[in-house]
This record gives sequence, C-alpha cells and structure tokens, in this order.
Amino acid sequence: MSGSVPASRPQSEKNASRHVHPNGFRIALILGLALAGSPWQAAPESIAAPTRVYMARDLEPLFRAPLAEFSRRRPERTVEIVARPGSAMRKELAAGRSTGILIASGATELVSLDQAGRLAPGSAIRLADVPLGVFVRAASAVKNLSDLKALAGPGFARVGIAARASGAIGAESEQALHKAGIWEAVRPKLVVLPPEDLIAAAARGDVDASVAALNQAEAAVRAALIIPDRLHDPLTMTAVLLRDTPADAGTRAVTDFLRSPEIRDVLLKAGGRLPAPDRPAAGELFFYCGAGLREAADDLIAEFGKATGIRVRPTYTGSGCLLAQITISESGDLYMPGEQFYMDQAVGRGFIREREVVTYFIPVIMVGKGNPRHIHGLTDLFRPGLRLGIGEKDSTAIGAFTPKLLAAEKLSYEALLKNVVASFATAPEMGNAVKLGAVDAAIQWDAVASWYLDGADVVAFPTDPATISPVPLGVLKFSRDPAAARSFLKFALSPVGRAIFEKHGHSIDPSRPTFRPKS
Amino acid sequence: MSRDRDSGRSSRLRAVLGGFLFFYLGFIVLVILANVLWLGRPGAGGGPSPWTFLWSRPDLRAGLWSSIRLSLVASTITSCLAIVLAVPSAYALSRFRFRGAAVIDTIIDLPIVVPPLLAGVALLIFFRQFPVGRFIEQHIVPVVYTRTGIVVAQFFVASAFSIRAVKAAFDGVNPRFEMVARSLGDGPFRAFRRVALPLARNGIVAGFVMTWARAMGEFGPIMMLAGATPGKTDVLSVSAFLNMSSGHVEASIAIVVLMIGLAAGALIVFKKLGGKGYLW
Repeated sequence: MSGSVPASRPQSEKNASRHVHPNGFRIALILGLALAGSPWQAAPESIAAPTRVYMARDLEPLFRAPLAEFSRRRPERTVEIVARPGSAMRKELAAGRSTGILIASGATELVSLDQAGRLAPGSAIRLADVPLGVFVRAASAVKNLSDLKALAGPGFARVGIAARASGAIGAESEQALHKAGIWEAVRPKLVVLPPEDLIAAAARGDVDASVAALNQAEAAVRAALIIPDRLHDPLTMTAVLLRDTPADAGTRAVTDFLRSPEIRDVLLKAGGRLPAPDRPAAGELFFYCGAGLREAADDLIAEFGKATGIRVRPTYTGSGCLLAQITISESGDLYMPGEQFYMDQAVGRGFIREREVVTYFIPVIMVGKGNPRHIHGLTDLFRPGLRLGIGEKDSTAIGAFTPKLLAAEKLSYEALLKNVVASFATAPEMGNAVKLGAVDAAIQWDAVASWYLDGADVVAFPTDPATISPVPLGVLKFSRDPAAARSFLKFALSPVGRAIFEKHGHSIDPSRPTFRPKS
Repeated sequence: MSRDRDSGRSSRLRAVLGGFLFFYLGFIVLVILANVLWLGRPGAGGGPSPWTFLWSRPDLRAGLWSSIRLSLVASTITSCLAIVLAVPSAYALSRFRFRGAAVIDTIIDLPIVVPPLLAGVALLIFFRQFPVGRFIEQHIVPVVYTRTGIVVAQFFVASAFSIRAVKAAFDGVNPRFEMVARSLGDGPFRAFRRVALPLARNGIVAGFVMTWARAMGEFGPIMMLAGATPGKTDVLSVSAFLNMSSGHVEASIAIVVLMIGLAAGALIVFKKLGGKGYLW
C-alpha cells in the first residue's frame, strides 16, 4: 500500500522557513484579492435559498454541530452541509457548476479548484492553522512521545497515514516523516487510509498510531505527540466562495458566522491556531491558578499565546487564597482551582460565567525513595509508628479530598489521623516534606507526586472513577473580555491543551485513571 | 588579690555571655550551613546535586536573576520612600507634644503587628472596595496585581520600622543642642539640618536597613496585593514560594541561601556606609 506513495518530494526550498507554505504564494494570491473587491459587499437581498457548505468528510464532525446550531437559531437561513471524501469532492466541484461555500483543510483543494477557475477571487477567509498529531488509543500504554522519531521504533508496527492523493493531510504527514528523517524506516509500516478513517482505525487498534490533523481528535484517542511546525506546514483551514455563488444575505450570514467567536472557539478547541489578522484585539487576561497546576498552566499560557496572540497573566497560589483575591478584587478573567470544592464556592457566590472540567487529579501515596517503609497500599498507612503527612482539610484540595477517599475505601479517617504528624497548607509543600524525609508517606495528587520522582517514589493504588478529583476551569463574571477568556477555556480542552496536561503528569481521562509519570 | 578575683569573675561572666551569644550564632550558622550543604550533596538515587540541577535549568536560572533584580530594586525604592517619610514624621513625633500622640504612635505600629498575609488582604480591600483606594487605582496609579503593588505592600508593612528607628534616634538627641544652635542664629530648619539630623544619622541608617531587610523578606502582602506572577511580580520570596509550589525545592533553597548572602552583604554595606560606629 505504501509503495504507491512517491518516496520523496522536493523540500529544499521549504526547509528554508517554516512560515513559507509550499502553496503559500497561491493562497496569498487568493487571499490578497480580497483587498481588491470583496464579493461579500455587493449584497442584493434575495429569497433565502439553502446555503451549501462543502467540506471533506474529515471536517464534517467539526462543523456539523455549530452549523446546525446556526440553522436552529436562524431558521430563515438554512445551511446544507455537503461532505464527500476529499478527492471525490474536488472532482465534483471542479467539473460541476455547484455554488456555495467550500471549507478546505490545507492547500491541495484550493489550488486545484483555483486552477480549474472554480473559486470566487478574493473570497477566501483563513479560519485557522491546524497542526498534525500522532494519535493512539486513549487506553494505550504508549507514553506520550517526545519526538516523531519514536514512530520508527519497535513500539509501532502499523502506522495509519492519509493517502497523498486524498488531500493536504496526506501530503503534510509525508513531509513530516521526511523531515524527521524516518521516512524510509516508517514506510514499510504505513497503512494508507482515507483521512476520515484515520482516527477510527487508531481507536479500534487496527493501527498502533495514526498521523492525523488535530481537529479530527475524538475521545477514544489521545494525541501522543503534536508534530512540531518545523516538520510540516500546519494545515490552513480556509473558507472560500465557489464561483458564481450569489452574494446574498444567506451566504453572508454563513460567512459572518464562520468568522464569529463561536467558530473561533470551535477551531481553538480542535487544536487550531488563529491566523494573525483574525486574532482578537490584544488584551490581557488575568488568570487565578492553583499553585499545584502551575507547570501545566505555564505551558498552556505559552501555547495559547501562540495560537491566538492573547496574553494571559497568571497568579499562582493556594486555591482558597485565590478565591479570597477574586472575592475582594472583583476582577480577573479566569480561575482554575485544584478542586471542584473551590469552584462550587465561586459558583455559589455568582463569580462564574461558565466552567468546564479540564483535567483530573488522582490520589496516590507518596513515599521516600526506594519505599523504605514498605508501603504498598492505603491500609499500610495505618501501621503504628508511621509518620504521615496529609493536606490541611479545610484549605487544600487534597486535604478536603482525603476523607472522601478513605470513606470510599471504607477506611477510617480518624484512625489515620493517629499517624499524621503534619498537615500541609499546599500539596507541593507535602511533596517537599516527603522528599526531604520529614514524613514517611503522604496521600498526594498524582501530578504533584510526579514532580518529586527524583527524591521520592509513588505507590499507586487502584482507584475507581468516583475517587478521582476533577479540575475545573472557569470564566469569571468580572472578565472584561469574556470571549477571549472563553477561548482560553476551549483551548484548554483542545488536543493541544490535553497534551499539555498529560505532559505534566495529569490524567485527562476519568474513565481510566492511571498514574502516568510526566514525560 | 581582690582584683584577681574580679578579673576571674569578669572572665567567667564573659564566658557565660559569650556562650549565650555563640549558642545563637552557632544555631544560625549551622542552619545556613545545612542548606548550603544540601544544595551541593549528590541527588537521591545518584542523580545530580540540587545545585547542578539548578544550573542545568536555564529557565529556573533566568527566573532567579530577574527575581534578584526585582527584589533589590523594589526593596530599595521602598526603603528610600520610607526614609523620606520617616525623617519628618519621626521628628514630629519626637519633638512636638500634641493631643493624640499616643494614639498616632500606636496606629503606626499596627502594620508590624498584623499578620503579613492579612495585611495583604487589608490592602486588597482598600484598593478594590474602598472609594479612596479605588480612586487611586483608577485615576492615579494601578496597584492591584502590578509591580507597583510590590512597593506599596512593602511600604505599608515595613515603613513603621523606619519611623520607629528614626524616632528613637531623635529621642536620643537632646533638644538643647538645637536650642543652642538657634540661639546662635540658626533658623529652626537650619538647626534641624545641622544639628539634629547629623546626630540622628545612625538611627536613620538603622531605620533604612531594617526597612530594607523587612521589605526583602516580605511575602504575604506582596502575594495578595501584587499577585504571584512569574516574570512580573515574583520577588525572591515569591519566587521561592512559586518554586516550592511546582516541586523545584532546589530552586527554593538556592533562593534562601542567596537571600541570606544578599541580605548579609547589603547589611554590611549599609552599616559601613552610613553608620560609622553604629554597631561596633
């Protein structure tokens, strides 16, 4: 199968700069014409006919829900999605006289349709740039990869890739493998699939991993690696009018919708990066973040800045202290406490506009390096003479959570307290205490424990979904730019956000809590 | 004979006093030593020593430098402001008898007594919930979650030390010297500048030093009022906290050692510069 794919393609020019798209010139031409005269402007009102929106099948899951919502809200503007496999759609649109809007991922479709004279000049809207990722089954034991080169290793016997002819995903995937220098090594393992089947094949386990666009991600898979830009050109998602499409109110309403914050959030949540001109005005968001989430938050902020140009300024301290700051200052945009408990309080006080669970904490036992006290489970913590640390019950998430955990395991919190020599005001302080030998063991969050693996060990115990703790992220009522704050929330939920949380040892899948030390 | 006994007694006294002094001194030195040694010892499980780990992380190192700069600049600005405020205020408190002086004296001490974190909460309430504070925040200078907030928090908590020390110094200057100067033709301001001020110099230096030291170590109020934002409001104490909060205990201890070194160096310089014979 893989033999049908040409072994190499000219790259030397492209290597020069990752910002130069191979078809960048052509796209620039299409976009540039927009300045000359925009067909959106001439808008004779006409009777609403359904506006057709064409897209390759792999884009359909992304746009189906928002476009349905659009139709529901504006019944007079019906939208009809036409989704076909990439190559079939190209042929159909190139030959026929169909009118409507095309949403394309990558340059392949745009270039061939432009050559066939089927695009309305100057009508392109650049929606987002979407990177490629390596997807594995969510339950897979495969750890997150630090490098695409890992695909050449023995852990991957079958790797799903999109056919080159099917569109830009195939071409860019190949490019990435070439640039990583593993094309020859990976080639025999490649299983060429239609783009819309890449994720399903990885989820079923037909392949060990698939290279697919981030927007294709689903719950059944996990992005083990987001392929860096230097290895490929991110797929530019573009909306463009087909030639002779009437510039009526219906078309305009749809294109306006495609530029709305709503679609922006959909694209961000799908792992996309917004093109510079469409970025929201450069404000600054203020972010109250639980100190135990700092490492992931730092990365999240940096990547969000790259994706949207929005700056986020964090302040890190205990979740309860942050709540006090929010209460008093009545300002700021985002709040991410270490536990639901604090979010509930914030919600109760009416501070939260909207919120979602972005990651989870799983309780583990932290012990000294080499486990000198031979602790293998929760019941061992009750042994007389052990010096235990716990989180302070009223001011830390882990402390508030510990009694719940013991109750779920039918163990007595009061009995445990006999061994407790210290309670800590933050989870990291407790980690330091184990590392420095001040206590023998502590009940700790997995992600926090994973910071101390150089000086401490972790004893994981089976946890059921009821005894893991969700970490919510909320947009504050006080936000001066709620749309931007909301974008941050959506970004945290995107494959990029999820990969960041995983990288820092957080569990993002509540159905399979496993201790996964940070990579 | 009796002189011998006296000298014997006095050397015993010296030994006893010295014993107390060296007990405390030894305690401090050993604690510092323990921290320094901890940084240098081989890591658990044969890993790098905490110090090597720290130097292998350019991000942590860069953060450290910016924190040092921020701490030095903020504390120095705070101390200068505090001294500018303290000299006239303390002089007034020391020289003028007026009703309510005791009340004023007590109010000035309040920021020292309030637990630091709560002082931060109090400041936050002032700037966000009280009309005067809101006006300042909106029309004069934004304070909450800014670098200005660092200086404001330090100033609020630490200025009292300046006033205390300077007032004690003015109290120790006999007003008659100024009277004499005035009887010789100096105006009140000139008498103050030429007589009281130079005589109180040691106290002023002490006030500056104490304010500076307190400002350097300040944490709670800064975290509440200015926030704990890496690269923006993370003075050394905040940076130590942030590192502790993300598992980099090495960086925290390095900051502890560094702060001790910096503080010791700065205290010596200040004392030498302005306080000839102040302590020795």
